[in-house]
Amino acid sequence: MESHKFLIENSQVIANLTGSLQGEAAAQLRATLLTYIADGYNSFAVDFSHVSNIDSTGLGILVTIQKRALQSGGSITIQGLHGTVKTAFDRTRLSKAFTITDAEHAIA
Amino acid sequence: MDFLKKFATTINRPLTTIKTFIPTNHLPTKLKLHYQPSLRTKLLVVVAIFSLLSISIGIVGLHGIKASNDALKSMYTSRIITLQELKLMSDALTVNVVETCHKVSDGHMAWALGRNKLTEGTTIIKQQWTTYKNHVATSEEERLVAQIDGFIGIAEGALANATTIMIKEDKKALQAFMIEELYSSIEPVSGKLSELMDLQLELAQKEYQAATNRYHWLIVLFSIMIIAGLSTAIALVLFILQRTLREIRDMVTYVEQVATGNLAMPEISITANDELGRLGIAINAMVINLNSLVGTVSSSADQVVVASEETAASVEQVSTTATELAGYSTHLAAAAAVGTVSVIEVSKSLLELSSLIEIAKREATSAVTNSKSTLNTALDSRKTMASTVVRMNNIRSKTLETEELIGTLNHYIAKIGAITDTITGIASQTSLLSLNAAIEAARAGEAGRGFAVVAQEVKKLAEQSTQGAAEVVALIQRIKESTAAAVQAMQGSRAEVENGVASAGQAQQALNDIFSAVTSTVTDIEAVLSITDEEVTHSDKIIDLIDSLATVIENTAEQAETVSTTTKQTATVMDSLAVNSTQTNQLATSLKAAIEFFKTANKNLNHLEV
Repeated sequence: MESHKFLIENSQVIANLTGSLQGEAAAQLRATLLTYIADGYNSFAVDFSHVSNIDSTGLGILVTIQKRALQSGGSITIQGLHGTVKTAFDRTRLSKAFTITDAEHAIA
Repeated sequence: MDFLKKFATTINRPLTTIKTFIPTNHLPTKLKLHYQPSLRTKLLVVVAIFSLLSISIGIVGLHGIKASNDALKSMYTSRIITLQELKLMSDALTVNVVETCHKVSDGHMAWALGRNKLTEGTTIIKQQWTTYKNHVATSEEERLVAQIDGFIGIAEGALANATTIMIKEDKKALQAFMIEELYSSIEPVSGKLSELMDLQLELAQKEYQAATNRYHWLIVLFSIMIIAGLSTAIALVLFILQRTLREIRDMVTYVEQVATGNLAMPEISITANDELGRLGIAINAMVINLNSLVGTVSSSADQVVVASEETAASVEQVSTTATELAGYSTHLAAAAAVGTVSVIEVSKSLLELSSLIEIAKREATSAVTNSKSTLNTALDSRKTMASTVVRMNNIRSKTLETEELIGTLNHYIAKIGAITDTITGIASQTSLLSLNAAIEAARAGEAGRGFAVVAQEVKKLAEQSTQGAAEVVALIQRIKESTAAAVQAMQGSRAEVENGVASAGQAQQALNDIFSAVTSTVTDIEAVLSITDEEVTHSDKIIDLIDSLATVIENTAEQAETVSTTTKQTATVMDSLAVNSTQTNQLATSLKAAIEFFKTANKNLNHLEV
């Protein structure tokens, strides 16, 4: 099991994700993040710097979280996209759907 | 697109009509005319006549010159040489003979020299005379020659005498000879020689006259020939020129008519197949071609006017359509732009769906596990229920047995009073029986509870039987009553057992239902699992799918943008085409106006109608 780190700062959930976001790991992340939403948090900052891989399940979960966050008037920002993870975001055009606060991405 | 085809055909039509009018060569219309030499041949004939005339004049002239030359030659040989010969003879007679004789007689000359001179003179005379006689030509000459021959014989005799005298050197004889013989013998010869010389001069005079006559005659002949030849040639040339000029004038008039635009004239009649004939045929062909050309150009111009109007209409349609198309393509571009936004939403939905399917798959997997344990539990319950039913049935049979035994008990109660020992025995047996019954009742559970009570009572009775035989008789009545109650209770117990059996059967059926329901649930969930394992929901596949969909839509957006731009350009081109077709119309109208300058024959136009 991957050890994601969650931190709450100014009622924003800062998720520092690690490892591969696929299958079971992704499903667990979903449950964790939905718990935060159920607890009333609606602002998320997700860091992918340490994420090595992501699949459609992982991406779909981010979409779900974004939807829920937006429904409750919150937001989700993403940073640290790189390599295959960045490619997956670009190929699925999710890089256009999410607010990406990465300096590198902002320039690009 | 139909109007485009129509547009294309309207453009093509004038071209085909222009092709059809191009004439199949009119020029080599077969000449059924009598043969007449070409103008060049005619002129060549005239030149040839001139040349022949010149040549014959030259030949005649040459011939005249030759005749003059021959006359000169004959004059030279027959007259001048003859005169020289005659003069030499005469000189020989006078100088060699007479003078020598005189000189010798006067003593001025030696005898020997005189002899030589005399001999020399005689030789000259003989030689010249022989030579002269060879070319005597006229009869008068012959007559004189015959006379001279006679005189020469006399002279020769005298000369012979003189020679003899010279040899003798006799001066007196010589003087006598000179007086008597010399002059009389020589005079006739020299006289006749003078006569002959006169005759020669006369003959020369005659020949000169003849030559002069021939010269005059030749002048006359030349004049006649030149005049005749010149007049013939001039007449011929004039004839040819007149005829040619007349035809040329006709043709010039004809062509001038054509130049003023009059094409409705009868054809030039062709009389000969010379250059003029060919010119006439060519002019006729030209007028026919011009007629057909004018007709075709006129009809073509009409068609071009119609066609350009159609073109204008078509261009209008195309322009409208292009504008519509531009509108559509702009819409399409906008739609595609929306599509690129929508594809993000589609992507989000698909990804969410994909993740939900993944999660559902996981839930389903655990559901299958749970269902399988439920299934196992149900299976165990079914087994337990089956053994319960078996035991229920045993209880029922045992109950029946018990009822029979109670019946037997009633039968024996009568004997109890008589035999206490027997009662004791029976009581112990009964006690044993009640013990067995209690065990069975315990096995039967809830259903066998009533029976256990009865068994307890039976046991108590048996114990009481063994404890006090004395109380037996008193108790028999009570036993009878109790037995009757036992029978009654046994019957109730049996009904309860029956109910238990039925309930157990129902429970078994319910368990079977649960089993089949759980089994089908497991099958359904497994089907769900197999569906969620499908390739499409697989992560990479769905990402590929989204990527290709997005790429297609983005490309479509670009294409739509391009189409929009192109369509706008097309619209611009169509506008300029419309202007062009208007210009074409104007050109065709002015062409028609220009072609109306020509007045054409209807017969030519008729077969040109396309």
